[in-house]
Amino acid sequence: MEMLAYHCRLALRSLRRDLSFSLAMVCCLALSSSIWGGALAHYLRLHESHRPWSHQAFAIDAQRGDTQAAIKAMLPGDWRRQNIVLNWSEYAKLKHALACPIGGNYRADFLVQDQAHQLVMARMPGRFTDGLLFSLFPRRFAWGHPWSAADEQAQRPVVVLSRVLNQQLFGGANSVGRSLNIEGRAFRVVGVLADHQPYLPPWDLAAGGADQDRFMIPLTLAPVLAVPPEYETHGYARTRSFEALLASPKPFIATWVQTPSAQAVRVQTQIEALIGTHVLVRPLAEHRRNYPLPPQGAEFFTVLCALVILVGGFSMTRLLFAKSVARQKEIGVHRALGASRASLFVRTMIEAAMVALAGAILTVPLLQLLLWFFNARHLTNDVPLAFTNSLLLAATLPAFVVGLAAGLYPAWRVAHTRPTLYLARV
Amino acid sequence: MIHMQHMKKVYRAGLIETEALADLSLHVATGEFVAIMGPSGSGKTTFLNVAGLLDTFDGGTFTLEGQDVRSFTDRERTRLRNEKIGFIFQSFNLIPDLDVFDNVEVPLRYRGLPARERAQRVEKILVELGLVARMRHLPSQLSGGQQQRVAIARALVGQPKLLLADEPTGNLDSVSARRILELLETINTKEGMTVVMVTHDQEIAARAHRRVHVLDGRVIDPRNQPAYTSTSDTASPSHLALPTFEPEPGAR
Repeated sequence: MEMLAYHCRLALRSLRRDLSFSLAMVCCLALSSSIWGGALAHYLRLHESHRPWSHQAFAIDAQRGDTQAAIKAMLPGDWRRQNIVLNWSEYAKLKHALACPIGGNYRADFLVQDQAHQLVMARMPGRFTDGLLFSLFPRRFAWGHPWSAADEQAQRPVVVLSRVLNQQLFGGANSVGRSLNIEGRAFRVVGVLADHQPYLPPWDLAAGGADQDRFMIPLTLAPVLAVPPEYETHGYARTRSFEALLASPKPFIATWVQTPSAQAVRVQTQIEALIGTHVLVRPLAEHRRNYPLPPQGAEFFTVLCALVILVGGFSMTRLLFAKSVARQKEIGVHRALGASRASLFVRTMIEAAMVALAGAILTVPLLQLLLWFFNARHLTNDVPLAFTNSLLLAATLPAFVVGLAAGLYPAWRVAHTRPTLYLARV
Repeated sequence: MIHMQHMKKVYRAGLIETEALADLSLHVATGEFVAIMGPSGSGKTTFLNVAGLLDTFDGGTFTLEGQDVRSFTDRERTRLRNEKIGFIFQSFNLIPDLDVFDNVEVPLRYRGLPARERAQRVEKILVELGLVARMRHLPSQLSGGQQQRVAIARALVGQPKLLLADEPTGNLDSVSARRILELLETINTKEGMTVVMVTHDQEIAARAHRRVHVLDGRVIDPRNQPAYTSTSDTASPSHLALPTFEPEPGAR
């Protein structure tokens, strides 16, 4: 134990003596491991993004010939965005006539102002949706609950806030009963969602991967507010009025039905009879198969970033090796004075362990900084990258292990340095 | 102490082979003070490397205190170096970020002695060499003569039986060189420690019991004297009794 303490002391002095080398090694390791940690946080965000599941959820895919070509030209190869939405009259027809529950939704940009806080008026993405989707795709509520069927039918201005908007406007506190000005009308908050919106939410058949919906309001209010869909993905021309859109055959409502699987074919036949178009009723499972999480490429990107940490380790090996070459004369002196190969190996490994430990520690603030940067920029999706204990462990442990491994070769070389080689004379 | 017969050592660098020792035979008796002389490249350094168990050899026999070193493992050679051999380097080779005390303590650390015994031995040798006031100084804060005395203290602290010195006065001014030489003579004559010293200086070499000339990896006798045997075999010392060095003014 005393010898170990002695080795630690000498290793520490050695690191202090070559401070620039030591700092370079620590930074190499910390930078690479924080990059790996950032990539892992991104991967985990995708992987752990909770997508609600239901065996009774079926998406309606209207196989229309008139818009199919245009949509396919616009979004080639995209299963989800091809013909799987309905136009307003189709939706309305099914809503009233279909035997099973039906839920439609579409996303739009709304003009929003928080009345209580007098915030600057801003445009933000929200969603018109049927209340059914809250039960078909269950989501946890931090406070309150979804609006009722009566609210929906009476076209009451009620709103469910996303976690992110509630945080932004009300500091994350319970805002049920508070008011929000949307498109010039006061909406009463009835519920606040507990979790961030999952990446690629299944209810959104027309878009995905963008910023979260800031709020949800009843789809029955769409004709009242007359806010057009966010995207021109289905042949809808923005220059036309919203009334014209409602009257046109242009589809923009992603629609789901709730039915037991055994009755899906019968429901499909019913829908075809009602809207006169060939329809596919596609289960949620098919949606998931076509849009797996994490999406294709995420693994490759994550593995690529895992290689970065190896590059960091390799750089550390080179620096440790260069350091040991610079110290070979001293190593020769130690050998001449009775240091065994094992003791020199252990000392170099202790140096590597100290660098690895410092690198792992420095990884923590660097990773926090990196996540803060990405969250501030929310490059592709505003679900924040989470700094969790598991992420911390997953980022720092490899840094330490790679740092230790990086010391193996230099330590072996130090241990096998011929003492006479660098002691010019005995 | 040292008995070498027909020693051969070849350095190989790719296809080039350099014969550093070629049929070198030498006997150094216990307690002898031998000066090794010879021009550059004659094999003096290689001889000392092999004698100090820092390097291996390719042919011949080498016994140290009657033990055939060829059969030693690296661990055994390391232990022997630590316990029986002291090294004094021309350029001192002190470890720059260890202070005087810690530098001198290094061989004892590797020997695994307890802290109290280490401290006693180090303080004793530093007192004897007049370095106790500089105990906590770094090598860079010492003069050349002081640094060489620290190196000698480090070589002697383990009470070795064989002291190998390479041009120990080569980097010193004449006054410091004379004092170091007197110290080596004292170690040899009063303590009976075997001293093998490489030097270019005829005057310094003349103070040794015997001068050995090396040329082209062989021992030669310029005056055609055939034998190289010891004439002053004495008992090995149990402790040191070195000349006293006064602490330098201003030392802390």
